Amino acid sequence: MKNNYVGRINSNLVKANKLKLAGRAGTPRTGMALWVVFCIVIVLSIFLGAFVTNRVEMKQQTKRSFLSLRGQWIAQGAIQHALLKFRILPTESYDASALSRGICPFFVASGAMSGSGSVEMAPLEAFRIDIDTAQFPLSAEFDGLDGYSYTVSEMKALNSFTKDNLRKHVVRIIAQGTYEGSIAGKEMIFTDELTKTVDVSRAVSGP
Amino acid sequence: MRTSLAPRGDSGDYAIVCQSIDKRNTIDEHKFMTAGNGFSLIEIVVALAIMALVLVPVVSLIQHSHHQIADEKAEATVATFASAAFNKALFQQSYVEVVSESGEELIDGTTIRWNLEVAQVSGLRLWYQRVKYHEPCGGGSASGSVELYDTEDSAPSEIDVKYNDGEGVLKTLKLTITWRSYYENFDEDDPRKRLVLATRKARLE
Repeated sequence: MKNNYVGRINSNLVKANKLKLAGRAGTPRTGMALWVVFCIVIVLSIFLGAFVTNRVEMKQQTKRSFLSLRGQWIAQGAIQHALLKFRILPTESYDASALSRGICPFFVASGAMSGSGSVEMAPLEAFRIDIDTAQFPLSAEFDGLDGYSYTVSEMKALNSFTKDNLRKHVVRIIAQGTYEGSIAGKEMIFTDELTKTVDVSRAVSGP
Repeated sequence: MRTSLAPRGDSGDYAIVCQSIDKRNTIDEHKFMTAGNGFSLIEIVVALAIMALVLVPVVSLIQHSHHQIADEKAEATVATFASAAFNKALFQQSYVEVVSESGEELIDGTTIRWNLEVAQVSGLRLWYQRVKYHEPCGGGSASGSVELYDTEDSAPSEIDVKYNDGEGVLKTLKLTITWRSYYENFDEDDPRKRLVLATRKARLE
């Protein structure tokens, strides 16, 4: 049995139906598997690229954290060295701090203090200058520490005040720890900076 | 029933043909399936080849990344361990308690070998500048009102005899750590698995 129907159809609808039927029935689907695979490969490549980039970045971050660790602890060594000087030389450190604030170290005053001393007179510089591995290198004690160094880049009296019969000067110490060496075949220099604030004090007899 | 569209002449009319399925049409349908709807052998072979080319490096990369993740985990463990070791030496132990020691520990699947070497800083001298006492004392220290001695340097034992006990006042600490993840053996010479940290410990008590 065979029935034929003829009618006028909107041309857009016809195109859509034509494509649909052609896809179901024949030749335009040739090579479809290749296109599917290409799509999968492209998506996989994008994921792969993102993944590799992420891993490389993570690896770099770990390297940086190791460098930071080296710099941080060598700078801690400089802080220890500076604290040692403040501990062993309390009078000299107090006098030096007072002078760097422009205050006569022997003058008894109460409350906040300020002075008019010149920076050139600051013996804190003399106090600071030997806290340096150029003077006392770490490699003198152990092999393999040639690339490790520290220095105190700044020692400055920030504030002065008298409290509970103690005259105090607040001193800021800025230490730099440097690691210079080879990481994964690349020569690198990494410097970390640490800041420590201490106060030096002297008892005063009166208000 | 099967439906198809076909142009009819030049008028733009289309004929919709509906046919009942008979034997001849069933054979045609079969021909369509084999010729157009499926994949040819060559397509499948080429597709499989491309997939294989992509999947081989993907699989090896996944395996490599497993190792890399283990390495990074180990490195994080080592960094924490090293910080803890120096933190203890500098801020929790007294000066005399900090001595050379070594050990091996297993932390979160990472085996860590550590060696802390401690040595006194020899020939240490401390630089300073003294202020000359003067009267009357002034509130300020304007240039000319305060005199300074020249910069001096002294050994700690010269400043205070209590430092003459042979313990010294400043020690150099060198911490060497080597480690291995779960999938590898120790290689002490591998610079990627070796961390050297250095610092100094002062006698502050």
